[in-house]
Amino acid sequence: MGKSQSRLAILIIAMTTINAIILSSLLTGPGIIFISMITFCFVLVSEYLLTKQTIESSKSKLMLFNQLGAQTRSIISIIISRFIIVGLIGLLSGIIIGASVVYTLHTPLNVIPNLLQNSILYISILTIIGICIGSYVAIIQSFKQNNLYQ
Amino acid sequence: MQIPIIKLLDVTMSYENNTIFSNVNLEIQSGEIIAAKGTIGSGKTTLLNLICGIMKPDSGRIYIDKYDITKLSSNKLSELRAKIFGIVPQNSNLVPELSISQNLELPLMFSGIDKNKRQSIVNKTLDKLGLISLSDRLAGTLSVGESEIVSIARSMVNDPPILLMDEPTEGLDPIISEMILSLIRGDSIINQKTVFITTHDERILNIANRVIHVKENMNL
Repeated sequence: MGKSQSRLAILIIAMTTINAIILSSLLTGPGIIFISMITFCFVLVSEYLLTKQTIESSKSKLMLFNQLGAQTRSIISIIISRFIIVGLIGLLSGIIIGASVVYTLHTPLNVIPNLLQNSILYISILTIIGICIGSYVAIIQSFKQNNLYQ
Repeated sequence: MQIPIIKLLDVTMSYENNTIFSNVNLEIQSGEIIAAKGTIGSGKTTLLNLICGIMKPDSGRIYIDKYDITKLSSNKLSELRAKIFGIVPQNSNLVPELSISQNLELPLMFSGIDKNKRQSIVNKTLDKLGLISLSDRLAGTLSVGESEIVSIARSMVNDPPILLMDEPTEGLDPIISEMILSLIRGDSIINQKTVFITTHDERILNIANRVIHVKENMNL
């Protein structure tokens, strides 16, 4: 995973989190669940595409490690863990910025604990699940397409 | 009778609905140097990839030593590949941001060798091949010829019984090619190893114990 891809992944996750936090602060009940699900789908698709692109650009390195006898499970866990680390950075940045925006928009302070309980938790969990599933599916698919680690 | 170290039994392989070869039978004895020649796209590299289990055949069996690699799980196959094969890919494929000694450490790392032992094995190999002065240089700064020699060094670092080389002298200048040829010929380096080389180079074909012609429907 190159520096530019990491930056892009952080930006995507951060922007998605900011949007989700702001939107869910304006909604209640089923609205929050709906926003969380949209966030989940967006993270899933974007992580899938980013992982595919990362594997495509690191194809020769992955091919080499395959030839040298690297274990499939090690390679998969290294790629996913990198995406999770990058995702967590994005998520944290998104939460900080999103929560700050919501705090500024809603002057009463009592919105924040409510927001933390309802939306941030859902969004964080769904984002991490989205990263894991999206990356895993992309890795398996790319490995099959490129005859790697079969 | 000696059991072949590599055995292909009725192997059929196709790619995007084109049959590359069908019902191939091939036996390679331990210590043999085999050269595979054939036209571009005839399936030389595919044959090499099948032998080391990177590709799986559509049908047939491939035995490496006593293992049927077509039946092994991907993790078991990786383990076997790390221990049994030294692979020299067509484009040398070094990691450019790592130094030469770090590149040579990779196969040892995948074989599960301790960090302390790795450095001494790498130094010994570099010394044997006269590359010790390059050990700290970044792989990205090497010439094509130097990269190819380092790639050969990497394939030998964990002393595998089988070496697979994909066109090792292709596109190299005569001096570097001669160095590679002397490595293949040299008893001290490729000692009792089984070597499978895909090539068009007449000089390699002359060194080989046996030359196979890779073509459709071959039976070796």
